[in-house]
Amino acid sequence: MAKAGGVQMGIIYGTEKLTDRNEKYEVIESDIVKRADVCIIGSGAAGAVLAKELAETGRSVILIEKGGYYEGKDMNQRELDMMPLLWKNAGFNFADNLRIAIAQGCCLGGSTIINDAVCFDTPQKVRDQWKDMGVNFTDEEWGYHTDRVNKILHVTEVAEGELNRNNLMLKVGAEKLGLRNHNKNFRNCVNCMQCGFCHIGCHYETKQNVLVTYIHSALSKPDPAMKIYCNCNIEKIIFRNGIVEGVQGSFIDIDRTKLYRVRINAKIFVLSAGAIASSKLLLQNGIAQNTAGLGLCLHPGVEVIGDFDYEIKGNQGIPMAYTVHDFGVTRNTELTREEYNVDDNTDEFLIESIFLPLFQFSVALSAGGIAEHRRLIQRFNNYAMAGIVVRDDNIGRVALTSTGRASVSYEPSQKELKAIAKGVEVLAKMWFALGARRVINSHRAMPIIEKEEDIPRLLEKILGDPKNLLLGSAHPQSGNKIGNTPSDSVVDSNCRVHGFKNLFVCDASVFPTSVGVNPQISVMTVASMVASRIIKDWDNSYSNLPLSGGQGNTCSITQPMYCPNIELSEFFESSKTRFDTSMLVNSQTDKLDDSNWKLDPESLMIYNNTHWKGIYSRDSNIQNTLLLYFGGFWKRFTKGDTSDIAGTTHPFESPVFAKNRPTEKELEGFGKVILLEYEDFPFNQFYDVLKIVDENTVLGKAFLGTPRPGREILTFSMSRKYPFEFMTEEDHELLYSKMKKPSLESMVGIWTGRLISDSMWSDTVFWFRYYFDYDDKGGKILKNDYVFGNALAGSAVVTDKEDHLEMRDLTGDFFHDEIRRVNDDILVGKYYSKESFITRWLPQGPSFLHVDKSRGSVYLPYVLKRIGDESAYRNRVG
Amino acid sequence: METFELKGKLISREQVPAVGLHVEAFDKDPVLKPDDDLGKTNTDSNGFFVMRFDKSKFNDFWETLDGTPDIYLVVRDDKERQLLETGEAKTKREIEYHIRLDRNVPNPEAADPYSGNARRMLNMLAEVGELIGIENRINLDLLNNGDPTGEIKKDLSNFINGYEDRRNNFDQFIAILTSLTGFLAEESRVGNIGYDGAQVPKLPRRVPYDQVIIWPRQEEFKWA
Repeated sequence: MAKAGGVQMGIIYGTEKLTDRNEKYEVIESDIVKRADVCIIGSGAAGAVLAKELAETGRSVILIEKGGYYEGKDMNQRELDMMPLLWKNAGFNFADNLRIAIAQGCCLGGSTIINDAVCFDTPQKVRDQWKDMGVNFTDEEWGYHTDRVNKILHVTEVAEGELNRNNLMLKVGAEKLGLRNHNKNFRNCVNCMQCGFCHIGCHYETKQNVLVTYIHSALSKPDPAMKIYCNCNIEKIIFRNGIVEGVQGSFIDIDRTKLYRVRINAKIFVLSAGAIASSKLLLQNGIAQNTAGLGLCLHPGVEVIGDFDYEIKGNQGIPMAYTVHDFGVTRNTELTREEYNVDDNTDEFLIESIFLPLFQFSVALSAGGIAEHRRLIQRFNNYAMAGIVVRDDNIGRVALTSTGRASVSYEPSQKELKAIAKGVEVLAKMWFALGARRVINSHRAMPIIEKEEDIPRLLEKILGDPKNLLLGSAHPQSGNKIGNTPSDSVVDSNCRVHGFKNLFVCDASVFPTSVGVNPQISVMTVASMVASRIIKDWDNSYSNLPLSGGQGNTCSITQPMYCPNIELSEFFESSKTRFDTSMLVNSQTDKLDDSNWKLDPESLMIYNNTHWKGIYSRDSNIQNTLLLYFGGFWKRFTKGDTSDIAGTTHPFESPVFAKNRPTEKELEGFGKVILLEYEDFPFNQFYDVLKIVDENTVLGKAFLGTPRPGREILTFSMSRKYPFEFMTEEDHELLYSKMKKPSLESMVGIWTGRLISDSMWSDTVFWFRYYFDYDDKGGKILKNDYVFGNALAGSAVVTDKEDHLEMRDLTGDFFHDEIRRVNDDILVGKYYSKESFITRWLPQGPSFLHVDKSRGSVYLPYVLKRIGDESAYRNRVG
Repeated sequence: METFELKGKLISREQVPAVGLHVEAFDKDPVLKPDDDLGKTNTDSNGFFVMRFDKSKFNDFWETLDGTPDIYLVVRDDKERQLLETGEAKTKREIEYHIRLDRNVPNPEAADPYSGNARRMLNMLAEVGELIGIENRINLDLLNNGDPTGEIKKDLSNFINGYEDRRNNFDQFIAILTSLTGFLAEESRVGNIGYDGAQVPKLPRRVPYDQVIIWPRQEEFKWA
């Protein structure tokens, strides 16, 4: 296997234990930090194409996929087995209203694994429209790359004998109605076995999805320059001054538990996660928040089913092999539209034959009640089915909910409804013309019509009562449009995000409008064009970009505070103590001052030499999890008048200050270590073994029982230099005292808040939105809407005080917030209680509570982090 | 006389048409009697074959009950070596075959990627469920400021409208699930509707099997 920067290439990694793979596969068992020329997030139609094209021209490529690695032999043609493996959210993927089901793949190969292999080149009319909107792809580029993609996918026209009975129903029906422009489809499937299970993965690997074409091709080169991480969910994009340094996330298991952390550093980064996930990633990371996700298209559609007296068995054979183009963007005549009174030139839709395996068919029949559903499914073999795919306007939106999740809002307008109604009309007429005894559709108020005369009533319902119309979408696209200006587009014609040197978005989300046909070839063509442009510009624009050495929050010997227990333990075993006990000595005073406390504003590392902060492993057991926010400890070492060094161990929140004494020892089984023995009962039943691995880092193990060897109870690390997010309440107090207040203007935006306890921070527990409003007298005031714990919401008014900003809500004098600024994106704050004599008697605040003795009140120390602009959010916070 | 038709396509392991193979069809009979030979043909340059026969080929005592033969195919190469024998299928009219000549090498220890699916699915469904309740928080200001009755009314009506819509859709979705779960639980009912279902074993990597798709049809297609 080739190596790039000491890294094994040509391998697929994941967290699942899989056997007998076509490609080389390994299971991930620790955090990883890797570097490559190119990092691509998402392995579907766009990501796989980019990865292959870039890897085969000499770039080292890391391809990341959230789903798992499954190949032909895993596809067992059983929907309940396959949908959770291959489909995003096991198929239960909806727009916010839960009325529009959105089919997307979530596995290596993305939606190309679960689509029906339908291939349409990007229609010339659409290319021309995009050109007018500022898309700068030449006709030569379109032509060359369309051909290239078609060739690699082995796209061929469906043979006459491959039309099954369901496809023939559409063909003959179209002829019967006098439609003019209908054809067999082109498909990326070679010698199709016609099992009919395209939607749940092709067992026979005759479908030429990107896994068996692009990805396999790149991995089977003699010197593959690509490697793939599956089961890997990227959440953070780390950037500065328009340059992305790295991305971070986690490897997840089947419970979506985060197992290991990942940090990838690269020269360029491409988001190819699909229209919804790419938009979410941009918005969550504060990128293009005014434009990303706006104008999402879904190609909404409905299926129309005819119930016939004779057997059709639509599940046997190719599900989608025939299309009626008369009403679509691909039409070659206007005559049919005139006949059917389609007056609006932009109302465009395709009628495509389609059939579904039983479970999905069952969902498509969902318009009736449960009893009705059972009766309907009995007729499974006698149904003909076709669907309408509407070329919709840019009417949807991907945004964030106030707690940071992706939200897809989409309500079809009259234009889309008119197209749907027209399509339903044509199909219902067609099925009746062929002798259907009834027609089933997905309008809940009128799911079944028995005769042709009822069609107008159904159309009225579709247009007048859209809330009862269940829609499906398999083509989410647009939202992060290509364009020339950042105000109305996200990327330029190279698919590079406006304002960034090395961040690209390349998937269906960059389409300026919906494409009007099944989009896989268009997505791949755009990716192929973008790849060739990146290759062309590599030497001049990208090769000299810096490659970050950042490790993020992954575990390593230099940052053991991020390690899980097993690795902490391994580091302990494999490292040697590099210094003698004198290196342990802390500052003379245990009061924080400029001599023993520093904050590096760049890296946000805290240096605190009053003590060594003890940190447990990140995967502590339950006992320790309880201790996470209440526990933790520090050790402090001082040198007295004699040469002896004396130590104290203090568990946070407790009155314990256990005296101990470090000595250098050769210990059996450990080699040279520092042995820490406690002096007084009961602590003298314990001892610690320490190794000083660098000036500011100690690894240790605690043991119960003397004489030695006792029973090992804990592995820990101790640091006197630690990241911001490990600050203690004392650090917070000092930091707050050193900081100045922010300006009111700088506060506008969305912020997340985390509480500080001595041992560690909480997860995000509150969300703040700051914005300007007007008071009763017309005066401009800064307001704060808050959500606490996703349960309580309210609003506060911000006032500009002498040395801080103050926020008061309806609780008035009882509680208020005080805030100061660390940098543009980070604030420190305190949530103060009213002054009370009781607090004067409290020795210290447990957990997150902190006692301010000077004021006689308690406060919750917290840190606010800016996560973006209001424009990224669906609703006001609260 | 009723005619039966057997047709299909054979491809090789490398997914190219398998040309010039001998395809022979039989009607399975009880042990004591040799199986009825229904016909023989060769695959053409596209790997296709078709053969037709009538009742006289198999009509003996065993088939008089339902008039349907138990058909299986035997595929041989030009040296008459047997490459494959399909499973049996019944038809009153037509069977379409799709065969890939690629017998797997089973690994009884192969991983079972489906076993955790209930957990997988539940974790995914949890996210769908969360969508419903996402905006429903207690707003402290409404309880205190302005025109609480009016505002609460307004908020409540927004909340209920949106909630009802989402709730209806979710009910719908649960209805589908309930219906389907019951449906799948009753294997016989699946049999009743004649759904052919999967054509490969549940754990394809663990057991030997031939890649054969058998699509029996009981009626002539009469849309014309």
